[in-house]
Amino acid sequence: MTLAEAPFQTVLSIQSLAPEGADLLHLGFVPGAKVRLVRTAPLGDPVEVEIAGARLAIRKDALGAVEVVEVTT
Amino acid sequence: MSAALKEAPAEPVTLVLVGNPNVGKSTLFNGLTGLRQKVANYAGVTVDAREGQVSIGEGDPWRALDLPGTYSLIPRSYDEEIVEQALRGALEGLPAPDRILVVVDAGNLRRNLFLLSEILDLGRPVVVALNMVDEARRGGVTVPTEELREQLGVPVIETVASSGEGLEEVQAALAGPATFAKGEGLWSFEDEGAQARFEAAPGDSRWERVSALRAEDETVKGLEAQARYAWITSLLQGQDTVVDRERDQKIDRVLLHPVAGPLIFLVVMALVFQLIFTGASPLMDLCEAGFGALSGWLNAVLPGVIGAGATSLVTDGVVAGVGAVVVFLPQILILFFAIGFLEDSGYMARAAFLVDRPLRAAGLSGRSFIPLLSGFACAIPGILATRTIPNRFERLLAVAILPLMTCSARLPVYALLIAAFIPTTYVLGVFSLQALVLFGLYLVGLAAGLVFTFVVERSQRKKQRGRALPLVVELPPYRRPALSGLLLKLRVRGGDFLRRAGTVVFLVSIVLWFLLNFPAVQAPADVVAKGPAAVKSHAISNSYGGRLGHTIEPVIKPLGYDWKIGIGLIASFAAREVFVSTMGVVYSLEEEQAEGLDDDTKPLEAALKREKDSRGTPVFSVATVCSLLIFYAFALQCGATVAVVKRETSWKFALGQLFMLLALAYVGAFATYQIMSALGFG
Repeated sequence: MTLAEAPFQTVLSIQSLAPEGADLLHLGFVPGAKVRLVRTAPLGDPVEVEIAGARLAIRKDALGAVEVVEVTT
Repeated sequence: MSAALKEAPAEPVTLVLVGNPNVGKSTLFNGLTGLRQKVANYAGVTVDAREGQVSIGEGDPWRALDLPGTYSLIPRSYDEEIVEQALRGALEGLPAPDRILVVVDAGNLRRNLFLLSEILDLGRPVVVALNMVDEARRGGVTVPTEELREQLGVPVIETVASSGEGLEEVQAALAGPATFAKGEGLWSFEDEGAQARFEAAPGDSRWERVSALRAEDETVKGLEAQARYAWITSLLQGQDTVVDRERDQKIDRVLLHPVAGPLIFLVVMALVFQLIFTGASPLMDLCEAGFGALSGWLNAVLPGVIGAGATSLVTDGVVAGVGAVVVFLPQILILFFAIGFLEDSGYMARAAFLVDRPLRAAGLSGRSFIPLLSGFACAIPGILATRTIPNRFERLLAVAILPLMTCSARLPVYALLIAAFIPTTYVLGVFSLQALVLFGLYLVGLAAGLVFTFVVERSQRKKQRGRALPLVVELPPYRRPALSGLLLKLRVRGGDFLRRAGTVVFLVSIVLWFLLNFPAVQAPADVVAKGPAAVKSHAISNSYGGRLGHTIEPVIKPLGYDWKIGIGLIASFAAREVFVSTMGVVYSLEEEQAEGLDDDTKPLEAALKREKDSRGTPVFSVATVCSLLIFYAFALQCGATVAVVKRETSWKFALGQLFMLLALAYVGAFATYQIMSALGFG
């Protein structure tokens, strides 16, 4: 699944990034990184994402470029 | 590098501070420079940077530059482009830095080391400040200072910028010999083919080589980011800890709540406005009284020295004109303080998060929020604040509509016209009609601006925007703002405002004074008999400004204005509220009444109501007043704003904006007057 469809408050692991997700790379969206969706803004966009120890407000349409799986503990 | 500098002592040693947003970089910069700093301005460069002087070792002070916070050197936005250019020495007016001080958040090394890895690739002398080590340790993070020093081969110094801890060590490290990163300690591609191409790529530094590789093959970007993060992981040896932010999460659960969040946001904004308008008024009165007293004193002393004409130039022209701008300084300082406080506390980022989606509907983003908010006090600080908008096209959109935000210079005009001509009735028994009209004027300006950005962004989206950046804003930890840093910011920004607005208004005031006082026409005997106020009115009517009013009368007639209002419109170009005092002169108020206009506009209100045209019908009908209000809501009648826009963009943009807003004001006022007249309010 992509980050756009992933459940909130779950630790996810990034599998791959589509080419249009290149603008997310430097923020820590690289394969293997752990990521968690925290909440959305009141109108559903942007989305607060926790990654590499920071909380970032990311545009929803960019999240579709990030392929993730749930981390089973 | 430093040897070459010693041969040319005229050029100071250049230090550049760089780091991610919210790492305390500016606080460290303040600690290094103290009061010796100003807003940085280079030809054609408009980013939010500050420049200052630092004493390092012995000898001449160094030149230090505080660059905007960035996550990466790969230019994605205008801000990042400038940072990258500044570090490479590709920026006009700024030599390549002799030292780069990289400020890193010790509590979040994983993210921060990414930028450091890029900077080390530049092959320039680097010193690393591991900032906020106290917060990191309190949060349970092990800070691997010694390991980093060992691995990177450059000075790594623990600092707490807010308390000044580690500042001396930073200065000592900067004064020491230039240190370069060890090549073998840096990252490499996992893929052997990519690594071979990287090594073979053209360029003097690792950064140039990887940039060349990236330019020829887009897929390198992903491999490069992965390689850098792999390097960070090995550097941190699995001690990948970050500060626990449970407390912040609790606060965010309330402040970003789907329902409570927007409500709290509205309350906070209402408080900011309350603070700006009511908090500033005693100080503004004081300013006005001060300039009044100065004017009075000069009027008493100067005529004997330089003559009456030159005295009038000084008092009525320069002092009155510049005073009209300086009077807004208290409001602007309070605005800066409120914004700085909200920024430093971490709330502004939340506000941007909340309003991003609504602003995007208008073609802007959450980043435009602070500039537009500032515009409600004065367009100039708002335009300067657009420097923090990373997307260049969005920045121009925000600059274009900022003069439509109802600034406080419009308030005296609105107050006069509304008090005189809008009935004091109540709508639905509770809402004062006067208050509703005032509120409506705020909305009309805002709405016009947002419709404009909506239309332009839609039509230009493909051409201009390229791609929208996915990152709206980082939500930093909540922190207690440091008063000293806030006050320093006030001093720098306030000084910048005075310099920019003051100089232009100074010139415009002199020009307008000449227009309204020359040629000096001898008043005929019947006018003299009516008293000094009538003489003054006669003089202004026959001045160049008065004649200009007559000349433009045919053009402004369809808006419902006569030539006297025309003079007021022309005079407004120094600052909008000058309309009030100019009308006072034109309608030949007695001297003492005219002087009391700031506190009590009733004599002028009465004069406006008395005014009849040649056929004996009142000039100021409801239609004319509404048309005038709309004109003031839209028109860019502010020389200082035009000058600042020119400085931040170009003459083409500034003049284009001036005429666009003038056309909008004309059309809006024309429609208002014609429709209202047709409805019988003429």
